Amino acid sequence: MQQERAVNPYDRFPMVIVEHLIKRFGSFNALSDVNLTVARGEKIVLCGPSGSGKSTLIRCINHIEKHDYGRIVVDGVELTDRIRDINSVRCEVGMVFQSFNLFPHLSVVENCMLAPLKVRGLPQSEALDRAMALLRKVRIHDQAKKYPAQLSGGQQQRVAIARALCMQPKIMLFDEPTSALDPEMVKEVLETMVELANDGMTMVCVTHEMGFAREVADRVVFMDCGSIVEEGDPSTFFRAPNTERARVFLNQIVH
Amino acid sequence: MFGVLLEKTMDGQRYIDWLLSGLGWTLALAFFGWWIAFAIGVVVGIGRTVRSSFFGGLARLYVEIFRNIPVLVQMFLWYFVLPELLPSAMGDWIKQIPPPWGSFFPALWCLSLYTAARIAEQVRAGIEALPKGQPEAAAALGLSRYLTYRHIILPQALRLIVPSLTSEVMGIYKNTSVALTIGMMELTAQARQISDATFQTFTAFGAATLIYLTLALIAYQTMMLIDRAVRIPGTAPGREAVGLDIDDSILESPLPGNMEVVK
Ligand SMILES: Nc1ncnc2c1ncn2[C@@H]1O[C@H](COP(=O)(O)OP(=O)(O)OP(=O)(O)O)[C@@H](O)[C@H]1O
Ligand SMILES: [Mg+2]
Repeated sequence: MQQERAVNPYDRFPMVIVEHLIKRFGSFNALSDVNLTVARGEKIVLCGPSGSGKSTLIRCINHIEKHDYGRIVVDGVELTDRIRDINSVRCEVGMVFQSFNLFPHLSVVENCMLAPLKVRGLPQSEALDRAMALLRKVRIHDQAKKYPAQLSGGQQQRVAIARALCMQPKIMLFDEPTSALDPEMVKEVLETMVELANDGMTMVCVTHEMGFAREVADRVVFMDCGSIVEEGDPSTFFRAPNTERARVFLNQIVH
Repeated sequence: MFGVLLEKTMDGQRYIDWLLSGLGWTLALAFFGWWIAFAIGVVVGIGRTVRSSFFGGLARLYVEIFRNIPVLVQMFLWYFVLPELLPSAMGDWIKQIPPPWGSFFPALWCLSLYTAARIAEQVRAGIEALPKGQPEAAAALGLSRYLTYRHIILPQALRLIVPSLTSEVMGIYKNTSVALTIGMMELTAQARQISDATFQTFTAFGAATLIYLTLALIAYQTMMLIDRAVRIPGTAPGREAVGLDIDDSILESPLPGNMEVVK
């Protein structure tokens, strides 16, 4: 698959381009003039205080939130209101939520098979093989027949990651994937994410896990009040942030 | 006390045969009415939750009209008024439908449409009770609106509303008694007929009451069984974990047999 990508002419273009993005809720500007480019294979960690617009930004990238002004281009396709086939874009963009959002009435393996079967049109056997392979990858294949409510939070989140990966997305978005977890389960989810990063996946992660950011992030993007205030490589950002706002924020999450 | 029910009537039957025939019509109205109501109710209930203001408005209009007019009045509207409103040829044709069908179909139609409006509101409530993350996760996976309703929203919403549907099931079979006003010889009508013929009012209506109570119990137990059968594994019994599924093929075949191989 990596080789396939190497000959793809679109490879030269970034995975995601966000230009002058503005998102309003009523009269409130949740995002004001955000610019962000995500290169293929790049891993970005997005951080910032509560309400700074991190979730809103990544939700705009798969058009779960519709932006008001500006441009978003995902894998060469611009997201507009008139976009005919938003679902084909969403197929290429995996998303993992803070609250897992597994489908409770489907077993673990069914959660993973649903979209490949119904959206990608994969044959049953292939969808099953793929689901089992990815569940194995997140080390939860022995729970495949269980239902989400029968799993721990960490297990549920790993299933959610496998479910997203079953669509073979080109980019994965994570919205605070570990903040709803008990501390002892954070590690297993972060390990899965690190492995994914090592496989070369393009990732945008909203997280305050600094260890994770140091280990995998190519770039840390710091947001406040709906704008990107600062960005840089993780070691510089965490050691010596440029802005006062980032300094205050980092002090808060350390303590 | 119920001995009179075994006595012969003028037409050579026994009174209990009258009751049983009435019970048959009551069950037929309730059973077929329920399924028609359920089908319409689910569609209208979905309509109440879609973004389109046209379909939303239409669904709302339906619910408000059929839920807020008394069943008795609706019964009269379908039976007496509708044939007059239609072109005379069609109206005359309807009036000539032989009994009991001339009463049965308007009654069935009336009960179905009324109950559908009530079910629609339950369906809407069930859909709106789902966490927002469910449709969002479905959208993030690329599922269309249709696929999301079909595979994510409806299976969960319908499970959620089984307890409240139980009272709708009981509601429709109780409301079948209104059909006597348009000449349907259902259970209550037969009880009255027996009472008129034998002057044993207490016996006639006592028997009908017992039958209605038994039906209620059966309906309740059946819904409890359905509730248990469709419960999502790992969820506790109670409000948030119950349900009915119109469609048992959520995935056409949930798990192929080769699962064990993978293990
Ligand atoms: N659906 C909505 N309607 C109205 N306001 C919203 C909505 N979603 C988000 N907001 C507002 O937009 C702002 C940004 O929200 P967002 O969820 O993106 O923040 P965040 O950075 O993800 O915060 P957190 O760390 O708490 O998750 C907040 O002030 C929030 O109140
Ligand atoms: Mg957030």
